[in-house]
Amino acid sequence: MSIKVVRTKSEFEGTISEETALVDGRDVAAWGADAGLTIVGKRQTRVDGIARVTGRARYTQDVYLPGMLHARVLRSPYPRARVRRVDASRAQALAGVRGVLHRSNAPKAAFRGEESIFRDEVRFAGDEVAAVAADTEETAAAAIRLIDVEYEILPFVADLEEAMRDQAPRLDEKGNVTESGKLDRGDVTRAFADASVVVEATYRTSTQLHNSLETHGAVASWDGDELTVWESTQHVFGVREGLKTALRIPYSDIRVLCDYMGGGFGSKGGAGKYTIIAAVFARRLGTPVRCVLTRDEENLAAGNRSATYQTVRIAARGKKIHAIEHLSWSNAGQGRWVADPTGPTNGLYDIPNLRTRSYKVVTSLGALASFRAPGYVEGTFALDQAIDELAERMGEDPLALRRRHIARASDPVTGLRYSLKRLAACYDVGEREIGWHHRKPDGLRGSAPHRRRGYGMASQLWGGSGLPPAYATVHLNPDGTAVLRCGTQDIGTGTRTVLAQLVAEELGLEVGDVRVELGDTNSQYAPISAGSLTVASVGPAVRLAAKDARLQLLDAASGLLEVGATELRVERGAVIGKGHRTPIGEVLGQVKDFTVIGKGSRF
Amino acid sequence: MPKAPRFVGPGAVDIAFEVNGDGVSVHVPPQRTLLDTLRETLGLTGAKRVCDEGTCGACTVLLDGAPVYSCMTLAVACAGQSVETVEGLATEHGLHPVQAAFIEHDAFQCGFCTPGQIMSCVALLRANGSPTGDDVMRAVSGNLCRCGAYPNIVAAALSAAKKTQR
Repeated sequence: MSIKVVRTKSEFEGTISEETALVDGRDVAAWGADAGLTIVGKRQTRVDGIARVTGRARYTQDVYLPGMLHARVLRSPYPRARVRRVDASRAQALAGVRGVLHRSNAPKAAFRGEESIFRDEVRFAGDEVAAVAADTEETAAAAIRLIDVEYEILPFVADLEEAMRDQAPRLDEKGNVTESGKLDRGDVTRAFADASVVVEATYRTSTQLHNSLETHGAVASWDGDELTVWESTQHVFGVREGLKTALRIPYSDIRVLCDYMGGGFGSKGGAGKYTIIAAVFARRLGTPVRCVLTRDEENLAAGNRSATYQTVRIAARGKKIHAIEHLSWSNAGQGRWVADPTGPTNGLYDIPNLRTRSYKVVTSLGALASFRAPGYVEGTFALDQAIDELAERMGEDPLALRRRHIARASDPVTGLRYSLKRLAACYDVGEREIGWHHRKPDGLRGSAPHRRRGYGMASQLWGGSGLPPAYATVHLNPDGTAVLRCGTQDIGTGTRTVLAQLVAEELGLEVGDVRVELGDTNSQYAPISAGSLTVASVGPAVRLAAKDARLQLLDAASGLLEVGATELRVERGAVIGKGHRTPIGEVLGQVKDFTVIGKGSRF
Repeated sequence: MPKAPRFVGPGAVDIAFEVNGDGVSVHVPPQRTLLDTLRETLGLTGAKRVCDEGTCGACTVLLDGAPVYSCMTLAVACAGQSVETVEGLATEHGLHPVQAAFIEHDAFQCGFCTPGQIMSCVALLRANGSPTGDDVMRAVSGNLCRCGAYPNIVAAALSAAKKTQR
C-alpha cells in the first residue's frame, strides 16, 4: 500500500480551509454506464427497514442502562445576566438527588473556546447555569426548580436589526457586527451607471428551529478510565473530539456510539454541553448518566438557522443581468461562526459585475447551528426574488432571463472547470414538468378576490464533494457473509443501505449477505454525515475495502481451486471460473476460520 | 383483571394491565405516564417521547384498540385495560401488513415517528378496511414526521389495506 500526502482546499458549510491529508495511494475508478451494475442503481428496500418498523431500532433515547441516573439542566431565564450566586442546598437535600453541578463545583472543561461549561455571565435565555442528576427524571426536574440563583440582569439585544444600530448594547469587544465574507468582480459602480434597469430590494428571513424529533442528548458510562457515550449525532468522531478536549482524556479511552438517530438536519455535529454534563456526572457518581434535552430546551439551546436582513441591487443592460450588489447580515446569536447567504450570488449565475458582503451580527440569542444548506437557502430567497423582480421590470420571462446566465464552463468563484454541469437540463425538466408555459405574469385569479395562483421558480447551489479522509474495512467470513465497518452514521438518509449495495456490488455478494456496522468510534474514521457529502466521502473507501477483499478472496480461491486468479470472478456469492460455480462458503470453508479483511480509504 | 380504582396515590401504587397480550403488573407513581412506564419500566422503547405534550403522536399506542397519546395517558388510568405497542404487531409468521408496507413504500427516513405512524394506521385499518387517501391522512394527522415521508406513509397504508382485503 502506498501512502500519499494530499493538500486540498476544502469548503464545508461556507468555510474554506487548507487541509493536508494522508491517503491510500490506490484509487477506484468511477463506474461508467457500461459497468454492468446489478445492485447499485437498482431498487432496494432499506436494509434496516425491519428494525425501524418493529421498534427494535435502538436510538440514543432508548438506551437505558442498569443504575442509570437522569440529568436535567437549569437554564437562565434571562438573555444576559451575571450569575452572582448559585445555592443548590435545597436541591441537594431533595430525596433521590445524587449530584448537582454549577460554576463553583464543576471541573474545568474546555468547550468551544471557553474554559467551563457554565458561564459566569450567561449570554442567552437557555444558557446552562446548573445541572442535577437524580434517580428519576421527575426528581431531577423538581430539583432544578429548587436551585436558587441570584442574577444581575444586564442589557441585551436579541433582534438582528436592533443589534446593528450604534446605540445597541455592545455584546462583543469587536462590536456586534463583523464582516464575514466578501467578493468583488468587475466594476460594479460603473455597471450600475451604465444600466438600463435597476431594481433595489430588501429581504428578511426569520429564525428557524431544527426540531429534530429526537432531541439532542447523551448517555455516558465509565468503566474505570474508559468512557462510553451514546449520543444522537451526525458525527461520532466529532463527539469524541469534544470529549477529549473537555475531559482531557486520550482517544483510546473514549468510545462514542450512535446506531440509529432521530434526525439532526445539521444541528448534531459534535458534543453538546449535555454530553459533558452526562460524562462529568457519570464519572463523579460512578454510575451511568443520561442527559437528554426536553422539547423546550431543544428550542432554546440546540441551535437555529440565523435570521437575515439582506439588500440586493440588481441591474440589467439590454437583455442581460449586468451587475448585482448583495449585502447580507445574519443573526449569529452566540455562535462562533456564521453561514454565508451571499454564496449563491457569488457562484450560481454568471454575472460580470458583482459586489457581495456578508456580516456576522452577535446577539443575545443561542448559537446558530448548521441547518440544511446553511446560509444558501436564505441567500437564494433574496437573490432569486430580486431576479424575478428585475425580470418583471424588464418585461422578460424569469426562466429565459436565468437561462442567459448559466455558468457553463467553470465555477465563477474558484475558476475550476466543471466536470459536469446540468443546470440547463434541470431548467428543461422543470419547465416541462410544472407546465411553465401556462404561467401568466400576473398570476391566475382564484375564487376569492385576495387569492391568486402563480408559477414560481428558483435555482439552488450547494457543494457536496466529500470531506477527507474516510476509512472502511470489510471482513469476509468463511461462510461467505461479510461485515462492513465504517464510522459514518445513517441519519435517515439510507447510508446503511447504500453502503451494503456498494459492498455487494464490488465483492460479488447479495445485499442480504452484507452486514453494515456504523456509528462507532472503535470502528474506522469517517467524516460528519452532513452537507450532502456522506456517500462521496465514504463510498470510495467502502468500495476499495470491498475490492481489496475480493482480490484477496480470488487469491485464496486460486490456490484452493487450483485455477489462475485472473480466470476467476465473484458473482452473487460464488466464485466462478472454468465453467464451475463454487459458493464462497464452500471455497473458504476448506480452511478453518480463514477470514479475509479488506481495507479501504479515500481522500 | 381488576378495573381501575377511582382514586389512587399519592404514593406509588401497583397496577395490572395487559401489554401486547401479556398481563403485566407495575409499581408506579400516579403522575407517571403510560409512555414512561412502557419505556423505562417495561423496556418497550418503540413508542418515542418527542414532544411529551400530546402534539406529535410519536408515542401513539392502542388502548383497548383505540389510538392514544401515551405521553398524555397516566399509567394508573390503564389498570385493567389492554395496551398494544409497535413491538406487539409482528408475529412468528412475520411482519404486520402495515409494517411490511412501510418498508416496501419507504414510508420513513430517520424512523423516529414510525412506530406512532404505524400504530395510527393499524387502528385505521381495523376500523375501516378500505380507506381512501383522505382517511389515511386524517388518521395520521396527529403524527408529525419531520423528515416529510407523508406521501409514502399514505401509499403504504393504502397498499396494506388492499393486501389485507385479499
